[in-house]
Amino acid sequence: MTEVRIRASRAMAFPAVEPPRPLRDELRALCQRAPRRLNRFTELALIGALGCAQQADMPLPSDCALYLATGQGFADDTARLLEALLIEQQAPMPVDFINVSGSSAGFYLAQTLGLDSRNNTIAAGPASFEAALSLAWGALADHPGLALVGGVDVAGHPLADHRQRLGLAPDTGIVEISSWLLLDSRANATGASLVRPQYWGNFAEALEDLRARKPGPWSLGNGLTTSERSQLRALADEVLPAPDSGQADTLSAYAIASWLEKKPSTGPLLHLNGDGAGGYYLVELLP
Amino acid sequence: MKQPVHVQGCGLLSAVGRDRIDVVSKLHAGEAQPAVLALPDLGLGGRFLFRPLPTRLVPDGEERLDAMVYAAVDDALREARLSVRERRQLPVFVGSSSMDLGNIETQAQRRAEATTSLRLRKYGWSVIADRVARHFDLNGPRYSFSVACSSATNALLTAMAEVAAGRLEQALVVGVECHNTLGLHGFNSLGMLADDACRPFDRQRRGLVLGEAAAAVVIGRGDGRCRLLGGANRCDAGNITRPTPDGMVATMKDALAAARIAAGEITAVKAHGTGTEVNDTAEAEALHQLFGETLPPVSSLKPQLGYTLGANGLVELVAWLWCLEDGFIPATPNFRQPDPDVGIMPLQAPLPCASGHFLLNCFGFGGNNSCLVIGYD
Repeated sequence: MTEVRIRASRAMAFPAVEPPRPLRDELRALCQRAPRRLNRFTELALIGALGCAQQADMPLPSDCALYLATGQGFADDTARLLEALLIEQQAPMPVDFINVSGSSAGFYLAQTLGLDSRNNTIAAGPASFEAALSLAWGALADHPGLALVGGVDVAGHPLADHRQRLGLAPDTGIVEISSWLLLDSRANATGASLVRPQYWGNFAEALEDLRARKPGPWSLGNGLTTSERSQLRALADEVLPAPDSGQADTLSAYAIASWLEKKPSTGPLLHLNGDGAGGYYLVELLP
Repeated sequence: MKQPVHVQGCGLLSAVGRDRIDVVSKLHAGEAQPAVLALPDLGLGGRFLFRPLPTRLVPDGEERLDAMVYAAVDDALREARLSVRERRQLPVFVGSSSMDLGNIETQAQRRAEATTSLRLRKYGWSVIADRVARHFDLNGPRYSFSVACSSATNALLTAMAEVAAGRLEQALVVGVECHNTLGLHGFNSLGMLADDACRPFDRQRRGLVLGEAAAAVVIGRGDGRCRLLGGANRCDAGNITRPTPDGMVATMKDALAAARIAAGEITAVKAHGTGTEVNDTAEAEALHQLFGETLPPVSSLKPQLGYTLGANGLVELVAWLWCLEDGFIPATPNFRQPDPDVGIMPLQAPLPCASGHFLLNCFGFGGNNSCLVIGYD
């Protein structure tokens, strides 16, 4: 049985503010030759992924796979192009149109990190990161190697429009995320062990299975309802505080990477999250 | 332990229809006349060639995309004849480049607030998968892939791997691309749209004719007539819009290796064949590099189906499979003049064929290259 380990991680999340936090200088500090004319989503993805790769203490091999999880993708840029087209009757500029192509962030990540292997951008609502992690785990179980798995979501501006677009209350905090794990299933892999993520098609089944779990620190994702969270709190000895107050579909990536960066000696960490459409994921990490 | 994966059910709505007999008949006849879309509401003088769905297939309106997807999925599920248990735990893999942009545009155009700010109701890249799961009461995990024109192919390749390894018993894979003006104007701004017809590998090729379609397949373990033997996805990160032959060759070789099929065993190639100068030149060179002097028959379905962007890999798989079931490989209409720089003459008439191994290419923006090898007998 192949074991999948987490060789490196990078936790990055910050509250979205008006005007948006500039990212270009931060990116250039990590990579002098960073591509130009990128959108905010790709800049943030690059900052997180480069930070994770630096933690790996080795150059990434070109056959390292890439799984980029996002709930909203380029919603803000797409809305801006649509507004220009439908309201101002302006056709998109070529670079702007290319930047809202679903593969553009993955392309720039691959180009900057020197990767030429599998390259996917995946969404599953608030469990987008768990879904990507689950597929990456499977791929690495089938073919030992490395995979860079990240959760990235950016806020649109003005923030009031972004909240409205997502159906959020006017006072809801928004978080911008770019948090990454480098998974390794090769024979010499080291680091925390990632157990195969588990999925249930309804909460009752998830709860029943979770009753039999060993106590440990639990992390509850933002795709769970208030009622679900309280039922899970009743089962757990310890529930980790939410990593940041605010909304982002890939907040789980930050929660998991944050726990790893604290270099825990006890565990396992049990991270449970819902996908907002009736599905539930458990991600279990053994330190 | 990897197990064989095969196609258990298919559904397709495309420019050549929905009914299988009708679709095969049109693909055999080579009908490929694009419609001319005018977009007067934008005041841009837009006039675009397009391969739309026949108007009788789905009603216009805010839920048009949903109607397309549900019809294709319904056909695939019916054909797969799943048990109640299998259906309830069925996972959904969706691939699309524009996701529900068509619906959003329609909403925006019909609402007064579109004049001030677009209100993208329940926006998110996973909305189609969630709606399909809810509509058909499917409780397996849902994955939405958005990697430009390889979206649906990558969804299929990932689902295949999960099923082959036994982590999933079966999977529903959906590819959809619905007409939207942003896509048309975006490709127009890149200078990639044809002004007369889609002519893959032709000396006079002038670009893409976009289209819309929804396709769905149910895949499962075991033997069947259409076996998904293997595939590969790679990222050719040289230039975001200019694919290289080397990147394509590497992907085709990986796909053949995954399928344990030698290049010499390939019966025919369904080319990506977009009709653009850059893509066709690169793909032709890649095919020559891979096959050398023994290039098998090559055909492109894009003149007939239109370029259905993120859905095209799955749309063309179903169309190719239906033609094989009817005993032929479809031809490539609109080809008039060979291009000596390309050196490929796509099929000019349907080729009788009852079985074989087939290489299906799909190359997207961002160097996202994906290839699939299928066996049919």
